[in-house]
Amino acid sequence: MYTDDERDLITLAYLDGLSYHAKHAMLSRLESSKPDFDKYESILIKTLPYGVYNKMRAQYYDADFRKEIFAGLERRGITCVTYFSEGYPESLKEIDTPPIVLFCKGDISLLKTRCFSIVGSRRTPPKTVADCKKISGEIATRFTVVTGIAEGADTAALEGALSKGKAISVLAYGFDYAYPSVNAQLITRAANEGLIISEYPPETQPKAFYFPVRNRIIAGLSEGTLVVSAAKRSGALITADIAADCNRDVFAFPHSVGLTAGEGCNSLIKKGAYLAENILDIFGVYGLDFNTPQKKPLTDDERELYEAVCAAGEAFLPDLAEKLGKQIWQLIPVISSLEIKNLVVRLGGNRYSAVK
Amino acid sequence: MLSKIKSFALNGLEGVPVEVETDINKGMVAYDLVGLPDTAVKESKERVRSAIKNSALQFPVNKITINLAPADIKKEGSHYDLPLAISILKASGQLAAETDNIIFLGELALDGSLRPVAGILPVMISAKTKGYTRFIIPAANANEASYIEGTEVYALNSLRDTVDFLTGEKRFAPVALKSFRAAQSRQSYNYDMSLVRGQKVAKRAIEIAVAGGHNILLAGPPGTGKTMLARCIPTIMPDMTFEEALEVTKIHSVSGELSEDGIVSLRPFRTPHHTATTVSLCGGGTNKIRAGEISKAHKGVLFLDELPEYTRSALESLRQPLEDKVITVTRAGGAITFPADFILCASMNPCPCGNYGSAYLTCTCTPAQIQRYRSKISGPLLDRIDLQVEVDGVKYDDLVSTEREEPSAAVKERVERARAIQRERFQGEDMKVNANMGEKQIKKYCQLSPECEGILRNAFQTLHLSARARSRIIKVARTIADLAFSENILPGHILEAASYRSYEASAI
Repeated sequence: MYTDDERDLITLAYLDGLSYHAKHAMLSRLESSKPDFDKYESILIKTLPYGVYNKMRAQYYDADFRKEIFAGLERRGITCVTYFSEGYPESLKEIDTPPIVLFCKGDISLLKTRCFSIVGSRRTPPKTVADCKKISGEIATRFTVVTGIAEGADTAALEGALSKGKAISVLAYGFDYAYPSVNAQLITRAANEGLIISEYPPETQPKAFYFPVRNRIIAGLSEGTLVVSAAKRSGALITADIAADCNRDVFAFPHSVGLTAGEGCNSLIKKGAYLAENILDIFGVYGLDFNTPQKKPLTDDERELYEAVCAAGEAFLPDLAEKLGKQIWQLIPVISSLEIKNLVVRLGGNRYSAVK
Repeated sequence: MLSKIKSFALNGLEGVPVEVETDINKGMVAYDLVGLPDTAVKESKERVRSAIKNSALQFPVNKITINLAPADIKKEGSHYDLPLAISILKASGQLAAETDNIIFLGELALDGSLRPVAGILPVMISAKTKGYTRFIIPAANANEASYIEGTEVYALNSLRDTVDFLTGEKRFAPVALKSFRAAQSRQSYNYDMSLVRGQKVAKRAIEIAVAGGHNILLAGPPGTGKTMLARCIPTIMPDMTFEEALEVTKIHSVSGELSEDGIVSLRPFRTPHHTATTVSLCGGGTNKIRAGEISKAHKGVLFLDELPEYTRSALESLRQPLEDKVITVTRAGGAITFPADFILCASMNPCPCGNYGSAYLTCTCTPAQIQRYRSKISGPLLDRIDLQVEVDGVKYDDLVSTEREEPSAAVKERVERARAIQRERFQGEDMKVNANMGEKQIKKYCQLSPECEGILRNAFQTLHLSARARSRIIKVARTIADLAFSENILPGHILEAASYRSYEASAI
């Protein structure tokens, strides 16, 4: 089922002692599928820990090692798309050091669709989470949404996208692991309803430095990248930088002054990223149109309260009651109904904000 | 000569008649006490000897054999001092009065005066049902004994008085019967709803919780008045009836925690610290099985501050009593059932740093940290907490505002009306409040219109509620409808009930 070229690359991907830079060099910058061990021997033998190079080399030529790899992949239901495979996305070839193999679970045809990535901080405020979920669903009507799998923005983007369309989740570790563990179910869902990919063999444990490296795949797959939230130093900004370097569009949610989780987004806008307030700001760039769905009918009470919440921006329920001259127990069912209709979002501490 | 004196042993909250038999023979000087006495009873020898001597009486210099019958149950506590002394005096011929139908209870001091003992009330109630009506008890226990009709209780100060009373040399009036209403009006709560500023949502939730007997979780940043709110819960609960008060007093009496008044007329409010062990919460102990905090909170409120800080096993142990309203503590020595019908009020911070959802402070926790913090409370326990509500951060303006807040008495009236509706509904069922409904009763009493059913379905989809939240929401909606005098559950009630689930579905 795999060609010899593919088999060589997959085996090389399994050699965890070699960095991806080393692998690229040995493949003569992906000119060939056969790693040139001899050419780099003198350098690698000195730079790698004692014995690692020889071990890697021996493993590469070990027939049993190979047999085990492919048996393992089959057992786990993993499909590999290598740099030399037909299914490898062209857009990914444009980035620096593209992954030599993508380990995939799910619908690999998504790799060839139009992709758009949504990234953000794990500490995304509840209001932004709701906005992210909404816009992700809207983007998914035309694009495949690409994102990670962390809590906060990634989770919101993934859930929003899967509810309306397709999504690719890029992991920074092997499929044998689930990190963060609370998202284990979501990972399974992403694999069943969309696609999860990783450049690491299934046995690879999550490590902190894999995550920024992984971000180049998210940026590389996508025509554009939307940063929904990012602190001053955030992984989401790395993704945005890579996207900009590869001539992809970068979008960012605007945030209010003084919000830590918004500083990175605002600085992106200052540097020239598109300001994305709603879906039209994004689709406009690609010449796509978007029909806003019919508004759900509201009762008079609901409309009155919704408008009050919109006017206040961030509204404290007892304050709203005072403003509207109503008792708190009269407002609780109404705000609850707006919440169920996805028009307002609960920020905690009985504060609410409208979802635009 | 042989004498027999009646006293009582306590087994949990049940009294068991005990006969103190003393025989004095010629022979080597000895004092043998048999019949499974514990250390406190064994040590009584020295107290009894000194008390007799210091009451101008003679401690016999003979071979004294005392048996506490029935011989197979353990005798614990210090209240056997008085019956032992009387029995010795009778056996030695120094006291010739009739003592057949009198129950003696009391601890002796060395000078012969009587000290108060624990558990007078449960003993008297059990004794009365077994046909005993005359008691001699320490004077300090008089209040506790003064609420039981049809008894003749003499509360005396010393062994000397007791002897004089029995021989007829001195006369004492029996303890006068007191009215429970009077005691109730004497006592009052130190807290009131009107003292809590703002917190309108939480106050509303508490009203619903008390009206329907639901357990409630208050989540909010530190220092926002969660404890203060919790302390207000007893103030809006209906007044205790005399029967309820007796039940509660029994437990507090056994634990030796009764106040001067001798009866608990206010709803108990117990706040065990989060270092509390499972045994201290549920009851137990090595020698004597004692009531735990959940039983001491019977008919009142058990307040668990900082819920996630309690040990897992302590929290899990609450599940069964929350369901059954009683706890059966089983030890090798036997099993004892204590009542434990309380409203659980728990409080917690929304996240480890405490600022999640705060308008003024930034939360520094990662979603994983928050998840970990919240997962300390198990799903089955959360299932039993019908209302989960967020407490707002307090603003300075709130604290200084002069706006009049509603007093507890007004809320209590509404609660009592809602409870009356529930009493009528559950006639013939063994439950009094909505919170105790099982699936069967929910089907019977909480018919949902198609519109309500639709709202509930939508709520589940958009708010990511777990399936088991369903019956919780319906039960709370039933209570909200009762508070609004509505026969049927209306859409508004369902919507409001669905909003009290902050814990489960806050956006992370």
